[in-house]
Amino acid sequence: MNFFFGIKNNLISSNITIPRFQNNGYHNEKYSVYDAMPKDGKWSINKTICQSDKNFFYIDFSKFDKKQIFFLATELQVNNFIMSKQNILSNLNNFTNTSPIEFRSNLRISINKKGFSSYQSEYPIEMTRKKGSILSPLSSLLNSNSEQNLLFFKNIYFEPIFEKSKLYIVDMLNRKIIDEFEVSTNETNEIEIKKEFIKDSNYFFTEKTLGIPLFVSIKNDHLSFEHTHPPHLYLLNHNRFNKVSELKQEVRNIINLYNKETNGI
Amino acid sequence: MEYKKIFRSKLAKNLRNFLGFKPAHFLIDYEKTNMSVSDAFFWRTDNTFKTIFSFSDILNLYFKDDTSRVEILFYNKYAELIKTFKIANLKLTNKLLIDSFFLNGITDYGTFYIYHKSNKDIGTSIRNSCYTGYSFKNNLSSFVHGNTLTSYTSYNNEESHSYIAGKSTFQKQIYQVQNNYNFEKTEIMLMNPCNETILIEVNKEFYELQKGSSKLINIKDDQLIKIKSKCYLLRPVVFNYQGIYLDVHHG
Repeated sequence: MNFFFGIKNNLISSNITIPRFQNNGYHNEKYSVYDAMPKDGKWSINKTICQSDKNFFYIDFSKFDKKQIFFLATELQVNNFIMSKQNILSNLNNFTNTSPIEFRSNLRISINKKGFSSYQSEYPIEMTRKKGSILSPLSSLLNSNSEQNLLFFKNIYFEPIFEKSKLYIVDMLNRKIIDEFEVSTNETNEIEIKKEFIKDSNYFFTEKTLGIPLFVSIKNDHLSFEHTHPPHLYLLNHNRFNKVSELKQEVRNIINLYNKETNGI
Repeated sequence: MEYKKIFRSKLAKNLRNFLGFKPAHFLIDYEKTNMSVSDAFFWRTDNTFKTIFSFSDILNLYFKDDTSRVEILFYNKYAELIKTFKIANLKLTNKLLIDSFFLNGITDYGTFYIYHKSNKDIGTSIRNSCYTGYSFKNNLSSFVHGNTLTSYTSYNNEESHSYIAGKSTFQKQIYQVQNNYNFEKTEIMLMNPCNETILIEVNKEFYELQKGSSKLINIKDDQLIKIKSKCYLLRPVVFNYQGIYLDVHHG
């Protein structure tokens, strides 16, 4: 089961288009869209009010809280989930479990009703159960000639909690920490990336939080919007997770040294 | 484990695809090491387009390989090689501008592939899915990541395989892009990643694509994009236009 989400700030708005068909063409109109967000330590779930036709649900994310996430389900599945008093996101149905290509919504951002950019977006339920770290380059998708460069780091965690952790900007070549930020679970964390940070050796690293890194560049009301992949996807053999762990340990060592120098820890 | 190895062998994959039983989407042996696998990326220099290619030096980042370098091969839309470009002094992340000047005056579209090279026995194969940005009328580039493994070569150039996507023998595969297309203009770019000519149906119009060749298709009044072919993974890159504004995403 996949979740869908939007992003927004004072410049950018977004629209989420959720298909009522799988990518092999199989339609099923029995599902509705529901939205969920953590509230007072519980998942608050409501049927989403949005436009729809026989092929899609159309969500104008400006009408929703930044923390709200969306999923497809039947009324019965949602009622059973609420009655069960489970307080964790659960797999309610398999309609959005497709392979080899994942079931995706289109997440389109726009600015001043002019420029727009989109990608095919999903957040798989398996990922909501995991904690971990992400390492990703900053300069691949950002542009130092743009007026503004933003990193949105989206996390969905199965428990309705907001757990804070650190996100670091790391110079992998000179082995030093450039800056640090706080990120939270169940948030769309927004970080403005300064132009001087957009260098070929600069990466960002999250200490304890998995998520999807989304990069936005803005110039003259034109937009670019795309996500990066987790590092293990670049390696193909069975030892790839070990190799990625080694690389992440290198970054942790840089962070430990930085913490010692700055905080005396 | 032995059973798994046999099941994943190239011969078994071809047989599975012939029978349509647990088909292999890519005819690649994941046991092989020291291979650089490339997606098929699209370049565009037509209609004022420029293409920016953004890629990481994976061998240096993960393996501290000081002999790391890349070879980028450019093909026209008929899958004919038009340029080979080698870069030895790599940064951790790199950007290459592909415009008509870079391609010796060509204003058209086609594909390109990136292969990492090394003098060392790395012991691991890599896949660089990279990012291609498309700038229309000199505006900000709209970036997309690669989405289909298509070919690979060994780091030492001794072995290479092209057009490794799996294809069914009998049944056509349907791929319906999960988005609604309601723009002034929508184009899709497709390439044939299989090792044989395939017939492609896009919204009931038919195109024959030879192996490795690419095709830019205008989506007329349809708001849906439905692609049928015998290729198991035929995913387009989509170009949406609204006035001077452009959005490019992979389908």
